[in-house]
Amino acid sequence: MYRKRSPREFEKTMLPHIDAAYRLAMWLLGHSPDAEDAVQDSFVRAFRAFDGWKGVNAKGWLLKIVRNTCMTQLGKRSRNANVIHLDTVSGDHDGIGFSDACVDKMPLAEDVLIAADRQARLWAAVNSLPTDSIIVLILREFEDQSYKQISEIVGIPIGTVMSRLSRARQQLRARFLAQGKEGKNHEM
Amino acid sequence: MKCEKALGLLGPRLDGELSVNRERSLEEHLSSCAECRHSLAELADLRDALRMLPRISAPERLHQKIYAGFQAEAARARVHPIRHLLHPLVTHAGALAIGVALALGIMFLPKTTDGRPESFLAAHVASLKNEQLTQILASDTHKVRPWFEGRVDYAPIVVDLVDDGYPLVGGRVDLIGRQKTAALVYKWNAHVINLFVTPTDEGEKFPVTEGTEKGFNYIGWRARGFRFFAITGASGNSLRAFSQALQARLHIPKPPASSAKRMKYQ
Repeated sequence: MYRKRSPREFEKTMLPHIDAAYRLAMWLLGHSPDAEDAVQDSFVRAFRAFDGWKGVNAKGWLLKIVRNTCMTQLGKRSRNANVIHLDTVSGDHDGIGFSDACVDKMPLAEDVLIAADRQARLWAAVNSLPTDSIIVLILREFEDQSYKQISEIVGIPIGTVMSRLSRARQQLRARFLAQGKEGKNHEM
Repeated sequence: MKCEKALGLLGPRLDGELSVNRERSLEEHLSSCAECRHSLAELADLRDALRMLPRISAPERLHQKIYAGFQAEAARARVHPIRHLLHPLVTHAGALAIGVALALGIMFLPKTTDGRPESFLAAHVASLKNEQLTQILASDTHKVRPWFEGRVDYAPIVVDLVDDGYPLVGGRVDLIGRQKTAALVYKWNAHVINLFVTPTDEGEKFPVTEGTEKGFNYIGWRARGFRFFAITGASGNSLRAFSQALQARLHIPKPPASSAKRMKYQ
């Protein structure tokens, strides 16, 4: 069958979002080659599924694929982690396998060379949130997706987007303030 | 409205996701509740701080890899229609299939004999046989490109691919059909890759041609107003990698100016 949408169209609509795709993958998978692989993989998937794109919100459509790819990857990690964990229970107890399989997210903050301590702390606070919270927060604050768009990307009702986002902000606020203990200061 | 309910609406208000009615009743509550106003200010601060975090961009190599992968996928996608049509031609031999295939075949055929793989093959073989592989021996693109001035009636794109493992050796002018054509010579291990660069006004819709002729592998594509045709005695895979490396260097998409774009939403 012929493709409805041309590679040229893909180039124009999807390729400009490599950075956004990478950002989401980094937040979800941490600073690792996995994130790059996930983004590359997502673009191949996106290209093959491009005919199914309805022509609106290219970035959101792409980020949905990136999210799915990353979630699959996270699933694999936790399965691996479980296997290794059981092994270490019966064998040695150094736990290396387990921490290997877990997401090491902290180097991210160093990587972007954030000058301000406040920014570094905020960054770390976002990183410490549960994956569910990170996704909605990133899509909203960094990628300008509306509640409806987020609901399509993550595959949850709009009401759930609202409550997750609200919870994510509360968690973030609590953790951020707990780290800095400068809650009364409203200035940047 | 009670504070409990109002607090739940602060986020959606900042996000511009409240209905007119809800927003009105929230504003009413805020005008009389200093505590909720404080919470709103705090939430707004947090959001502003988040939005001011530096945006990380994907590393350049990832941009290049994705672009090269896209080119490869695009090449396959373009070649497919012909392949799909050839099958019914052989198996069913339906009149309609033949008609469609012929019509498409004519559409996809190169318009002049100059562009045929055979002409490039002949030039490739001649370049190896005559030991006149290069008329200018230089790996510097700034030497090779000007050398073509006055020798061909266009300025070919010359890209060095030494970092990708394909050092530029030099260039020469070949007569392809009746056109003087810029030929660039690259090395890959012991193999020579001849890259013919000719101007084209047919856009980039022309399908990627790829194949084997008398044991030589070739691949042709269009980009940036030129037709590229690479031919070599090396394997098809290494030639494809060569073409992908070249295409990645010909076109690296610019990262979007996300910070500038963001201003609109503030």
